[in-house]
Amino acid sequence: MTLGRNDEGVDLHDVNSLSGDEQTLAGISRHGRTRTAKAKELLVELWHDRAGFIGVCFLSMLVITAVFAPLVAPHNPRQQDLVNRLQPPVWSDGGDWSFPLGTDGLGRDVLSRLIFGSRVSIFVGLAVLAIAGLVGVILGVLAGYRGGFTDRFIMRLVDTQVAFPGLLIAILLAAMIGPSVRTVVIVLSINGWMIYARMARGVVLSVKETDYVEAAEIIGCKPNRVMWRHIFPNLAAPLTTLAVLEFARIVLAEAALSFLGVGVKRTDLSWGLDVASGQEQIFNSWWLVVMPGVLISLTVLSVSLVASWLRVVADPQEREKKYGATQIRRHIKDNG
Amino acid sequence: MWTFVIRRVGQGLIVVVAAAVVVFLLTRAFTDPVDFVLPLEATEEQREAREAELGFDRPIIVQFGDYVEDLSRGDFGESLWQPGRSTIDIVGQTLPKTLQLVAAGMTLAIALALPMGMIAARRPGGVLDRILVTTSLIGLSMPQFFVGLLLLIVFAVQLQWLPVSGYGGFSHLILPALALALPAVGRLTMVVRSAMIDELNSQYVRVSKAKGTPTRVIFTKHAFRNAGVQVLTLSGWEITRALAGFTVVVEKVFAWPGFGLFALEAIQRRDIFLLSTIVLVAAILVVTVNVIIDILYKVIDPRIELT
Repeated sequence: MTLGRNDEGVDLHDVNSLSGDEQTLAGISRHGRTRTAKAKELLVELWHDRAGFIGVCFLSMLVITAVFAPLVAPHNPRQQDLVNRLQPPVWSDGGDWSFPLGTDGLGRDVLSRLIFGSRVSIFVGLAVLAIAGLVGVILGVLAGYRGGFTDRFIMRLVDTQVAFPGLLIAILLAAMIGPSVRTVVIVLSINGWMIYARMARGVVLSVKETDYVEAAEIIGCKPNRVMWRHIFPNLAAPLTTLAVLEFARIVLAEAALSFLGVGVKRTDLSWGLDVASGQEQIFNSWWLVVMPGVLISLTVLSVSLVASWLRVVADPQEREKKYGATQIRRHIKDNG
Repeated sequence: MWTFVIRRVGQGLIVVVAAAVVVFLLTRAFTDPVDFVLPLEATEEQREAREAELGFDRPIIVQFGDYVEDLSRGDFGESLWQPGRSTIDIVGQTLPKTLQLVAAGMTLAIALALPMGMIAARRPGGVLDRILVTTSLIGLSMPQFFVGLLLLIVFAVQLQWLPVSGYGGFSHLILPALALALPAVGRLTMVVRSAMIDELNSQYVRVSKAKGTPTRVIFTKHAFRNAGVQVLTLSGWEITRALAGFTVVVEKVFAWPGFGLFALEAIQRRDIFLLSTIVLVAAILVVTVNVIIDILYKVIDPRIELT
C-alpha cells in the first residue's frame, strides 16, 4: 500500500533544506541513545501526529476496559431485565443513566455487552496475528532464503490460496467445525498467513544480497543463524505495520462471521452477534444496531490511524521528512 | 501473448482443482457427512445403511475419484434441503441475482471512486482532498453489514423511500448495491488518489505541463492511463472479494436471494452438498475474474512482462 506516500509533500521543501546540514543532524541523532530518551522522543512524535495520537488513546481505552470489564461494566451483560426492555440511550426521549446506551429486547444493558464484547474482538485479533504471523513469516523467510524448489513450492501455495474465495471457504469451514471462538481463530488464521509470507519473502530477497549477510555466510554461520539472527531483524518494521493493519482486517472479519452466525457461539458476547440480534428490532430500536456498529468502525478507524503513524515512524526516511524539522527546531532552541 | 493466456488459464484451473480438493476434504474426510444427513438420534444401523447408500463407506480415494467424475459431467450432487433438486440447479437460479448485485455495486463503486480520487489528487493537502480522504477512511473502516444496516435504517425505515428487503425491481436493488459499493469506494478512492499523485509528480507530466498541455489532457490522457494499472488491480480485487464473501453479508442484510443467502440457508438446513457447490462455483468465478484481469493488464500496459 502506498497510501499517503505524498501526504508530507507540503512541508517537504523546508525540511529538505534544513536537513542539508549534515552536522546538525548527526548532532541530533547522537542525542537520545538511552532507552527512556528514545521512548520520550517517540511519544513526542506521537503527540505531533494528532490522528495517530487519538487512535492510540482510543485503543488503550478499549484494551483497559476489556481487561477490567467486570469492574467497568455497569451491569452483568447477560442479566435479563424484562421490565426495562428496549430502553433507548440516555440522550433520546425516555432514556436514563442506569442504561447509558439503552437495553436490548431482553432488557440486557447494551454498554455492558459492548464492553465484554470487546474481549472477543481483541482476543481473536491477537490470536490470529500470532498464529498467522508466525506461520507466514517462517514460511516466507524459508522461501526467500532457501530459494529454488522450497521457494517455488511455498509461493505457489500462497498464490493458490490468495486466489481462493476466502470468506466462503471460511464459512464452509466454520459450518463444518461448528461456531466457537476457536473456530474463528482457526478460520481467520488459515485465511491470513499468506500476506506475511509474501512480505517476509520480499524483505529477505532484498537483504540476502547485502554485504553483512554475505560476510556472515563467509565466516561460516549456519543457515539457521543467518536467517534468524541476521535477516530476521530486518522484518521488524514492516512486520509491525502489517500486523497492525491486519488487526483491523481481523476485527472486521470476526464481526462479519459472527454477524452471519458462523463465528462465535450464539451465547458468546461479540459485537457482530449484537448487530445480528439487533437487526430483528431495527424498526423501533435503531441503537441496538448502531452502537456496536459505531464501536467496530471506531476501533478499525483507530487501528488504521495508528498504522499510518507507525508506517512513518518505522521508515527512517519518512520519519526524517516528517519529524526532522521539529527536532532541528528544538535542537536550535535548546542550544541557542 | 497466447502462450501467456494459456498459461494463466492453466494456473486458474489448478486453483479450481485445489478448491475442489479442499471442499471435498472438508465435507467428506474431516467430518462425517452422515452427521448432516441423519437426525442426531439415528441408530448405528440407520447410519451404516445411509452411509452405504450414499457411498461414504468406500475408501476416500475411490470417493474422490467418483466426485471428480461427477463434477466433470456437471453433476454437483443432490440437495439435502430440497430433496430431488440438484444443487447446481439451485445455484443456477440464485447466481444471476448475485451477479446482478455485484455488477451494480462494482459499477457504482468505480464510477464514484474514479472522480473522487482524481479530484483529491488535484491538490494534495487541500480542503477538498482532506474531506475526501477523511470520508474514505471512515467509509473503509465501517463493516459491510453496518453500512447496509445504516442505509436500511435511514432510507427504508425512517424515510421509507425504498423497500426494506427482498428481490424485485430496480428500487430493491439500490440499497444493496450501495451497501456493497460504499466500502469499496473508500478503498478505491485512496488508491486512485495515491496513484494519480505519483503520476502527476513524475517527470513526463512536468515536461508536458511546461509544454503547455491543458490540465484536463494531462489528467485524462497522461496521468490516468498510467495510474490505470493500479486502479485495475484494485478493482479486480474488489470484484473477487465481493464475489467471494461480501455479497453474503449484504445479501443477509437485505434478504437478497443470491447464492450467498442460500449458502447461509444451506448451513442452517445442514445441506453440505449445496454449500460445497456454492463454494466451488464461487471459486470458479473468482478464478475467472482473476484470469481476465491479468490478461487485461497486458492490453492496458504493454510494458508488463509476461511470466
